[in-house]
Amino acid sequence: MSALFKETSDGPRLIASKCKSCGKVYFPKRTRCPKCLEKGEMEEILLSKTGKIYSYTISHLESMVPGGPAPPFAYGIVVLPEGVWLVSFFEDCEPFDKTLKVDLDVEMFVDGNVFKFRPAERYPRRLNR
Amino acid sequence: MREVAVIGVGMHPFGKHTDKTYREIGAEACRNAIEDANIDPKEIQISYYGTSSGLGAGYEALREIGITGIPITRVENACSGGSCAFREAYLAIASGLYDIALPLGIEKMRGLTMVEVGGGLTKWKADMQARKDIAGGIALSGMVNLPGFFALIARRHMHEFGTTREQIAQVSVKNHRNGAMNPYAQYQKETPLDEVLNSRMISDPLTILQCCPYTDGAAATVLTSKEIAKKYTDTPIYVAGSAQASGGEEIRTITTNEITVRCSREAYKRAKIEPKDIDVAEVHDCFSIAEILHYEDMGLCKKGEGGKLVEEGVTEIDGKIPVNPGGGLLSRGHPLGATGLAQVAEIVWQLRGEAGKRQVEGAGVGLTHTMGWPGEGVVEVINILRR
Repeated sequence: MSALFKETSDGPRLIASKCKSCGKVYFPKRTRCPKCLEKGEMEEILLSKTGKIYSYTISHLESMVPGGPAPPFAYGIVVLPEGVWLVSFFEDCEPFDKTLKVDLDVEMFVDGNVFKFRPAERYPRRLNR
Repeated sequence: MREVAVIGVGMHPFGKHTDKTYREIGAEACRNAIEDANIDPKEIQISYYGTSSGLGAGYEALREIGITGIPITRVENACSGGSCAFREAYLAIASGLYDIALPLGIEKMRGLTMVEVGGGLTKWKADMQARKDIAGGIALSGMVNLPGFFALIARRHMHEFGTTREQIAQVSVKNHRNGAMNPYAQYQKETPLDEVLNSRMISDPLTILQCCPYTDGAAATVLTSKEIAKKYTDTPIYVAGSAQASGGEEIRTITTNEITVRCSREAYKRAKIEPKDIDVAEVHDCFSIAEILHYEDMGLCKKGEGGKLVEEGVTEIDGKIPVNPGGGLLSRGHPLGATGLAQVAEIVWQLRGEAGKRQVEGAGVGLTHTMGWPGEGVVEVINILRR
């Protein structure tokens, strides 16, 4: 089991740390807040499953991750409501030029031990998923 | 603090030199700089060498031309290694501790991956070993390669400011045209807009002609105090200001590089100039979009107007603010640790009026800028030179 996410009744959720002093959220989790230093005690929180695309690209180069998708593949930056920026692969978003856009709502899912995002509207949320 | 002057510059041509050693290309750059400075190699008192891949390369190059016994220090700061070597040498002379310094940069990259050049594989393996629990998932953070990151900047810039693919590609058109006039440049060929846009897609919207190449090359300079410079040359070029800054804070936007903003303002203050006083600039165009960001962050234009600036020809050699007349990283090539010193060489030639076909008329103040990326941090260096 990866230390990056936790299985919940709402499916896998990413594990982050929130500083009890300044409220800043860090992913992946860490033991001390680098801003508050020794005062910055952390609590563990689970991140939202949905966020918005901040920017994206379609890579025509091989993935740097062993076993990553074959090019061309999409990835980019997702901003979560907690203020966390994530770099992630985007899946189920073909055709790229029609589907991908800045500010698109995307939803996290786990593929093997890697988290990825896909367009939220293609996966209407169901209970107990 | 003493005023510092550049009295000599020299390069080994940038390009593919797989048949030569670090020692050979480094020694040639040093020899050219020393000859240009009109000094005896034995007069060099201290050296710093910028390199990411060249363990010990500075010692080898200097020994090759008879320079031994002096303090020599390797400076590793990714793409800013050469600029930092120059700045350390500047500080050594300014402080009065040393009188003559030779900062150089040497890099060989052909046939290597970027990770190998940066020695990052060692750290990567060790870190993954230490954090087995998150290794698989966090490998994702290594997913963004450099063209990918700049593609993300480009896409966001297009979204926020309406910047077009054509405007971004125009940076490559300009810099390849300039590089074709620079005998030291890796690429000696102009690339019209259609060719840039239709070249192989790397990371959308950046095509291969908008990415700087892998390069072998070396560059060196000779620095001394203003007083001593008079003994050697009638055309000293003074270091008017130098600034270095790093990042690491939380990133709130990728369309403004706050480190460039901070570093350039500090450099302007030290040199007692404003952006409008810059006659010529060599900036870190590792990817086409990067140059557009630098225009804005250095205050050459307002935020969001960088695309228009290059489209309207303002940054061409005959424009109001010529940028990268030497071809930039896109055309001259980018041997990491040597780039900062190649930029200084270009600005010195420009300020002396020795830049040939790519000469900027009457240039009196010039700027060099590099942006390095050692792991999670970013290091920026700006040097301002004047006649």
